[in-house]
Amino acid sequence: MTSFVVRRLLQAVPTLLGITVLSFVLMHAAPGDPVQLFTFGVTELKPEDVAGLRHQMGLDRPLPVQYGYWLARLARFDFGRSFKTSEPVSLLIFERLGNTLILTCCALLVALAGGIPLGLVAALNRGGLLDHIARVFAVLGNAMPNFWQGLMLIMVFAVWLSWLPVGGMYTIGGEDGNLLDRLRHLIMPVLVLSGGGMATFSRLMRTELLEVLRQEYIRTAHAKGLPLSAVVSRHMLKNALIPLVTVLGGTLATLFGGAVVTEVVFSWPGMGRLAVDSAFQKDYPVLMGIVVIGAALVLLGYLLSDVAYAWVDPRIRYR
Amino acid sequence: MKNTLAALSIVALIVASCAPIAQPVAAPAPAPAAPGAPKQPQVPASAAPAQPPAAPRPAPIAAPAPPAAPRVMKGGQVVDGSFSDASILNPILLNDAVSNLVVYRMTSPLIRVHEDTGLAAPDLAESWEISADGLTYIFKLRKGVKWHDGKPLTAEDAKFTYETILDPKTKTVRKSLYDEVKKFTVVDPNTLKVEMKSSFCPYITEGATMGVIPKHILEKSADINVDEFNSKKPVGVGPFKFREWVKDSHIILDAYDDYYQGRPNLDRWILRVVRDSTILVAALKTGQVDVGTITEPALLPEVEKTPHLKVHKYFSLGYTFIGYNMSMPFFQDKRVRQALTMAIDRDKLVEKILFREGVVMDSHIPPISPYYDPNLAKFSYSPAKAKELLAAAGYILGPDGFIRDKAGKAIKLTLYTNAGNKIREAVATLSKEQYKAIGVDVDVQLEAFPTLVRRLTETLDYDMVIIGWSLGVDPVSKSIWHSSQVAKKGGGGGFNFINYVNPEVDRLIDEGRTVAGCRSEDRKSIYSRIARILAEEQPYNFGFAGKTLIAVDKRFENVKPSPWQGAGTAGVHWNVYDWWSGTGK
Repeated sequence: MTSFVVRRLLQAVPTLLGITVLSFVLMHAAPGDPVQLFTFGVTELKPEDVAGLRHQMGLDRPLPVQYGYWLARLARFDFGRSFKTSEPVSLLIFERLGNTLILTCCALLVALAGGIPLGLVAALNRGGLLDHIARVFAVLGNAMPNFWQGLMLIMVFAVWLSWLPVGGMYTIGGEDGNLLDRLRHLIMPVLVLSGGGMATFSRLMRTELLEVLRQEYIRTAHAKGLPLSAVVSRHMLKNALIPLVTVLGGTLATLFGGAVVTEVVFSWPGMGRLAVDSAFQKDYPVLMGIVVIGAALVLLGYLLSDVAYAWVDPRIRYR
Repeated sequence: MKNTLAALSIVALIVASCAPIAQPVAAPAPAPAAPGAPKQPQVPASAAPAQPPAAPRPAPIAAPAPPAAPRVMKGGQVVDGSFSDASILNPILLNDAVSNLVVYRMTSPLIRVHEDTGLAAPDLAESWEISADGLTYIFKLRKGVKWHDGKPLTAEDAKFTYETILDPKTKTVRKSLYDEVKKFTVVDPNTLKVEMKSSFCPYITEGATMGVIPKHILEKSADINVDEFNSKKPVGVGPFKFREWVKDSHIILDAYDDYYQGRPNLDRWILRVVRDSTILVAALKTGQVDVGTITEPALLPEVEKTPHLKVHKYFSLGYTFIGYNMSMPFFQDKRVRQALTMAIDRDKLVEKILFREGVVMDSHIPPISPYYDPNLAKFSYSPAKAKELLAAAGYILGPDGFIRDKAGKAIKLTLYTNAGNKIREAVATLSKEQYKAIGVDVDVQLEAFPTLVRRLTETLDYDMVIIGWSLGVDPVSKSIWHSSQVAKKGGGGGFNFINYVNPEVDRLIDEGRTVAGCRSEDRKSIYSRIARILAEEQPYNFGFAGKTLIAVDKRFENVKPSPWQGAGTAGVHWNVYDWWSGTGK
């Protein structure tokens, strides 16, 4: 297993490199110029001032040279500085990464905690009312856009009922860091972000469980007189979880992407919003930093997914 | 002891009754103060000399007692909703409105823009003089002003501020404001002399309105562009001092006890990031945010129905327009441009798109400006007249109902604007239909703002564009109208992307910026002439100026909108240090 993990980590390096080259090329190919955006509308600006700014940003160098400089800094774990604020990119990202991770991890846990039981109930009540409800929920969860879900939740729970806050991570000017206050602020964004994942997991669990239910060993377990809870926990779930584990890595990537919209709706100070702002403002260093961090996290997610796969299924042995 | 206290109380009461009332009074619209005029000292009414006793006569009817002054409550906080976060907290490096809003609650410039007149007014400089030839400025700084860390403000700080801007290593877009300066000299700790290479009238409202930075902190900085002052430890002389900044969430500023105009009534000013306009309205309604700009007029009725909110509406220095690419032969004929303007029912645009919260513009200078001239040529909506003008220019309707040039070639135009701006998108859609009614075939293209900017400043590949200006205080921007600022293919020009060339306008712009003494009366007559030429020539359809709509919780008193976007004078925020909360919260 160790050699497998090390091999996968080493394989990740050329993958990441390829991603950075592609991202760098795409960013510069997209229309728009960061210096123009920075200076548009600033009156009394002279061409030599604009040229000076371009030089300070390093944008007067040929593209391969710019990429080379960036890569050389990356080798020292230096992501460079934001064009807009001149702050270190690593600082900008890590100030927000934790907030995004809180949101995505909580959303993942809620999606699993909700999707697995929902799929189980649907499979065990196949064709019944609970099965229909679960399947309708799965369709709605995937079909309803995050933005709309967020707005509806805000209207109902924040504006009409005043039960929950409109957005943010905590009440400003109050007891910053109060756990209960932070949990209240987490409820709606986590519900929105987990909705799609919960729907996917419940559908997947239902399908897998229905397949497992047909197996002979399940019939044997019932014949032996085992209670349903024991059959489910000892025999059904572990086998049905295997495909779920394989999609977890991809789900993490989807959650990161979905977090952008959720962060906007709920004013959650996360990395997703930073990525969107940087893209619009052509803040290349920040964008490249986010690409690297995001890609690394996704690759790590897939690796963890593979490791978990081996843990769940003892037949799988990596060499 | 008791008697001593009683006596002191009586003395205090007498002294207090002699002092001017502490709350600010809205300045009546005065004749603009000439620059250089020292501020007149206030004379309290009760300090008037005693009159000799009058001859006996019937007692006059007592005048009604003046309304009691509202009681100023101390304490509380205001939470300001913003669509984006600040990016930098250094006045010389910032280049966005939100950073400007935050920074100018924390620091102050020598000169501010008067909230009512838009002309120069004292701030850290209590007075100034401009020599008759416009080459020397003397600024007298107030005594006793302290930085938030307790150190005194001196003229050295102002000199350091401007020289740092001019330093080639400083990454700022403000250098050009000080290009005409020959030298900054500290005459004494409270006097700064600025000598110009040539007269440059915008200096007083654009150069001297720069927030000052502390020399004693930043002269030691290895690189001011990346100093922690810019995001973690800003220090100013303004009414609020920095407490914390959680990126993309909020900024908290605390009241500064030693602010030279007196400690703010509120304890805290908080900027809270709320990214979406619909969510901002929800946050206003729930009270999570106390102040917020309504960017979509369609949301206005909902906000106005909310009992605890008041919507302040005012014009600011900006407008939305349709620009014509005058490098194309079609747009080089003035009659064509006038016709295109008359084809658009701008009153209807203001009614339908802005819900009547706006006004039609006829030229570049907005109606609120002291330089505004109402006697301008107006090209009001008249499709019939528009068709006549087009015909006179040689463009005849073809069998398909669209115009053709003299050679019979169909004229097809593309109108660009940035996607995501609902107002501009609506203008584009309505305009297309109205152009069609006079036979002008227009296709609308929406694109991302960076793409549009590149098109206007680099490729110059467009026919017409809908975009807007947010203008500075000085009335006519050289970079927009002067022929030396025509945008060049490949970049490198100014913002005259419509390729407007008029030697008379060039001459007037240069004259208005360099008139000796820089008196506003002299400049006004020059800018009136520019406005009249632009109104007649219609290089833009000058479109409309929309009102800024800001919702404020009614518990705050003394909220007074100001249209001026100059440093420190921004919307309703210019006097937030003087607001108070009627509930104390």
